Amino acid sequence: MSAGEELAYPHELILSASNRSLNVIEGQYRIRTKLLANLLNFVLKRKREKIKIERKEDPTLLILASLTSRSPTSLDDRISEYRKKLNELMKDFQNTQSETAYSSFIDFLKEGIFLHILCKEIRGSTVFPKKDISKFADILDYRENSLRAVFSAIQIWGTQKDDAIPHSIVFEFTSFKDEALREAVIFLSYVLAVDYPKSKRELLVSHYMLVRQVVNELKEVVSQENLADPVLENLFKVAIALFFCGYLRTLRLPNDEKTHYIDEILHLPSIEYSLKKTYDEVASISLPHIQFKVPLWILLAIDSILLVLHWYNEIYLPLEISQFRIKFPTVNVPVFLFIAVLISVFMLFRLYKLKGNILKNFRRGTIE
Amino acid sequence: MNSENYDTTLYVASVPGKIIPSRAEVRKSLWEHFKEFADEEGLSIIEEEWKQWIVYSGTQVSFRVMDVPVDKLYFLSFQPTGNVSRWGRPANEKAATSVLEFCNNLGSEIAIPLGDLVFKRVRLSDEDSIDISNWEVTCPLSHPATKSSLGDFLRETGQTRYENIFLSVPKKNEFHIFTQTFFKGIEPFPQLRNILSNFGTVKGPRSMMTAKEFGEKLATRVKEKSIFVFLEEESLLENWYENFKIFFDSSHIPTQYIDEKTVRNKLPRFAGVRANLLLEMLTKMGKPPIILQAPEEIFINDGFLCLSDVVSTRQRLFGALFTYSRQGLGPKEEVQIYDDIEFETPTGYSLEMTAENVDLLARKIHKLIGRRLKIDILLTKRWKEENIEKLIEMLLENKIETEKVYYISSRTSRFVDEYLQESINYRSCRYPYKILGKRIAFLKTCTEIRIYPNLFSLYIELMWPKNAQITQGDLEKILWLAKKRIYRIQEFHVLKNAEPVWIFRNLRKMYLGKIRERLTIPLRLLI
Repeated sequence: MSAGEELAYPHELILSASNRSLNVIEGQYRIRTKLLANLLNFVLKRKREKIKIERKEDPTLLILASLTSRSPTSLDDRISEYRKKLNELMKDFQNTQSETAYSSFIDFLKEGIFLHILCKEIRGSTVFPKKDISKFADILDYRENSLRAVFSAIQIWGTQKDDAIPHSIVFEFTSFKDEALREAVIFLSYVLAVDYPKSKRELLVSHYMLVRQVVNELKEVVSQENLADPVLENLFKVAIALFFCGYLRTLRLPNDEKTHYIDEILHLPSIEYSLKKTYDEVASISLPHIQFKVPLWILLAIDSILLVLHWYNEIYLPLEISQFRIKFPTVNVPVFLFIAVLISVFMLFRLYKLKGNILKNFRRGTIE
Repeated sequence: MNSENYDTTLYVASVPGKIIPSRAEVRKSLWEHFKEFADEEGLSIIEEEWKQWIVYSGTQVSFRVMDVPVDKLYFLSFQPTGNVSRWGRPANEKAATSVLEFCNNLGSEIAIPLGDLVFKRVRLSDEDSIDISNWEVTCPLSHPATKSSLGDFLRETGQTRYENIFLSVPKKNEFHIFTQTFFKGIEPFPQLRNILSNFGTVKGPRSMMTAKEFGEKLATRVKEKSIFVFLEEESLLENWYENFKIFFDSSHIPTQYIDEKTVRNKLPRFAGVRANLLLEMLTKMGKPPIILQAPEEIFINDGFLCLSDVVSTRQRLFGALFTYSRQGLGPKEEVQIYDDIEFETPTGYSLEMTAENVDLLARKIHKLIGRRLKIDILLTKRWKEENIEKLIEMLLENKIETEKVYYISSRTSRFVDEYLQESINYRSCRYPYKILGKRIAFLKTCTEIRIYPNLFSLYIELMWPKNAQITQGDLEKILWLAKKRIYRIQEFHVLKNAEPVWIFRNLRKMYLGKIRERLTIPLRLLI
């Protein structure tokens, strides 16, 4: 496998979220939940539904709706509305210095972070221009170190460098706890690992730790009915972030590093399961009209038995071929040896194609 | 009785001429009419200086007259009276039936010569009703957080005898018991301990005398998961309540006052009482196990500001309370009580204040809300139009936009109706309403009868904007405010008043003492 070749694998979480999304879009759920479900469907399958929004004055909802809309121009208007409202909230806080005004500003800012990632990944637009980021970061108090680190990460995202990224980002990502920014950190830790090779190890550790934490948390959730809207919103956001990282398609990292981290750090049951399933599929043959798969090791055993039988008895059976009124003379054929050779050739062929088939099935995954 | 229409004891008349007769004149003319009727039917009447009753089937029937000059309407309503605080469900139902029968005999139209007024009987209709069975109940503390429709949730609660609620209650709570009488081993403390220990750690009992000191020394980490439970005899408990309530509320420590008889007689026997107690305690602690959420299309606005006078034993105070209607906007809901807003209450139903005081109030509200929002305002008394407009203008200057202003009253034009005589409507999630004129509506928020006030509908008047009309959407918002007190699960069908209005009414019972400048209490502690 060459270093540049991409390994892809399905992620059960994304698929579960995807399966749920249709029910959510059609069911009795909040507009935000429906919009996130629609967005997941859109990024995964390019399918979109029309969702009516009652609260036209909420720019976060309008941005989510615009991302799946066919009109690309509307998104920029919505982003401008978001920025305008954010500036108003910032001024409110600066004028009043009240705690409620501050929390309004922070909550709205945090909502914008994930929207920024969505806009940039889907449409190439940015919610936070670089000049604004430092302006907002100046207001943040000491409790918002995670948010400050996320802002720094957004600023350097997309600018590949040979340097290591600032230690404050790595430190905050490693000890990350703010749930409102979790999806953003899952995504940013991954993409920065690609951009900044010197910090790759630390960033990927943070990424996989968060992925493991989220998957462990949500794997119990996905099987439950009647989930509350905030839980579903969380699920859809995580699924979108994971999808952007490349789970289900192709990861953005060189393959040897990915497999290393999958083996050493991730140990996700879903991946182990997928690997096992793919191997079982590829390293066996299925007989036509019989729902039974013969693994390669059984073929090898049969091959050996046939060879032993041939060596022990040297049985030659007469073979007469009579076709189209032409008769061939009777020949004595070593039947066991003949079958053993046939099986060996077949097995050699399957082994030769094994690597390619594993990759092919692994990429295709369970979405069939 | 028609299956779709339900008779009421409310009559409405529109004034045909340009001159609207005075309320006293109309009342006098109606009383003359009723006296004639009583004479014909052989009914006895009671006449005092300010009150007049007719006795029908042993029930005293009183009547009220109300004018609505804007819509040129007059309301006439009949209600049962007597020693109502002692009435249980059967007595209330019997009284309501008597008043309905009285109105049946009186006829569906009452004409009086004064101003050619013809009062026509009002009927509730199935068509004008709000069905909330599809509203959502979320259990945010269950793992993972789940939701179900209100109809399903109430059904499950009934079928499991509240077990679904007990399962959703987190178990890591700390109950600190205080008493002066029921120390270890003395009933009913062991009973209370056994019940509460299923939901956390029970500490104590400690002496009530040490409660304040204990509260002051409690670490914030412990305070967040603790509630102080005061167990005492009813008569003694009232004194402790007066002594402790404001102290602990202003220190942000949740408290629960339990009468020993409730623990002995009700808690072990009735699962509903246990569920009420637990839900109320956990909601006070800031971790409500169940939340009722109305469909988001109802709420175009961010929340409700309720303004009310608070008459305490020593001072005339003014209160402001903000409730968020949208999920995720912010859990910090507070009640602020001010001593420096001067106002007058010329009648029991109206409130007046000077422009300077309106200005001062607007500035205080801006500090209370502290962010730009779009709100609805609820008033517990009628305000002068110019005061409302001035307040809205001042709030707008501070980026707080007002959508609508409502006046809510549970005592205005009280009438009874036939709605609950149909068994299918009893404890149903469908609430009928009647819109009369452009700005007035009656909303029946109780679908069960336990006590006297459950018989009547809420009176809702749209005070502002002047040219707007009250709609079903407005009533849905008020209904949500009433039913959002789902933490009183056992009483769900009799939750009548909007939560903010109810809180102000409850505040009047609290011993506020002499407050200086301002008192701020988290809303959750006042439920």
